[in-house]
Amino acid sequence: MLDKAFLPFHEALLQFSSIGTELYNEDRSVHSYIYRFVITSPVELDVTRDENGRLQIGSVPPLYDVATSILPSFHTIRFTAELNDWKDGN
Amino acid sequence: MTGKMATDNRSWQLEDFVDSLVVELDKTRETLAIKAVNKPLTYSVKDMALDLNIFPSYDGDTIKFITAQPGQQGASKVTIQLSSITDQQIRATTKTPDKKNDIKIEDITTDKDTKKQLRKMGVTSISDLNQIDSSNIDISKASGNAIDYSQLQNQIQKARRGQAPPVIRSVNFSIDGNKMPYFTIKGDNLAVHPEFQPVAVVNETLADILSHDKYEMKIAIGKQHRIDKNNELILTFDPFAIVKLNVKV
Repeated sequence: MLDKAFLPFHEALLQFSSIGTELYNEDRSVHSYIYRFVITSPVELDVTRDENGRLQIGSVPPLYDVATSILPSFHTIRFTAELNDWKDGN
Repeated sequence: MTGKMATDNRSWQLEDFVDSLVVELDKTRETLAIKAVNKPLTYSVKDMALDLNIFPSYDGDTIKFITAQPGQQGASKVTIQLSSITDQQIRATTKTPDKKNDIKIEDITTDKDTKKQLRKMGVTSISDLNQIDSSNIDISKASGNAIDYSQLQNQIQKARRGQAPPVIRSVNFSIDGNKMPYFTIKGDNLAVHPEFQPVAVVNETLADILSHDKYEMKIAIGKQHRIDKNNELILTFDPFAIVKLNVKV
């Protein structure tokens, strides 16, 4: 069973990619879109098996920002997210 | 949050891990697609890579991995990269899904080494094996004689027969116009192999088979069969389908 401190991998990925798409600056009348972003982040992984024997991947960004004598093993996730139907940045 | 670090990681095979990763990525894409229905400006995850700190181990059969636990040094690094591919690429690079009545190699009764050799060759089902056969490839030679093909064929036939076993619906005792007694066995999937001549034994004595097909079989009875109230009838339809019946007359 997945440790409660960890999120199922897809939920972690969704939370990573939940950023606002539009940026406004009303004073200057500027309206921008983020059409692509790449995230590289250290993550902790919890790999367990469910009752059917299927592998479950739990993931979470580093839980603590305190240096301890025994550090968790940090794996790295890298992914690209793109605005839907966005062609060549236009 | 429990505040507990992942200390009970389980070992896994790369295939299992990638399968689970793909499922997770699909779930992300599905959720984002649903979100896109109401919110047109949403993102799609295009490519994803995971650099894993892992320790491999080999048990003489398979290589397994376990993710490094807190404080563990000297782990190997494995990068798994999942890229977006088009439907056309999927069709070009993916094996046709197993047919409904196909038999998986893991489901047939054969030794572990043969299954391992077949898996190494990418053979996971009988239809894969048939495809190799139709390409005129000698699988025994290709495996360095590690696979006994004739033994494997027998096991395949056995597995196929297991999917369509003989079903007996009725056994009738009758007497023909020449006053010769006979048994009529009716059912399904009885004598289905044209290359095998069925064999019948009545009360421990061999009996002549008058006719046989998939649905019916007639067996001649003589005095030597000592027909009584209770009779034992053993029918061998083929080497993989043997039926023993107790027939009351």
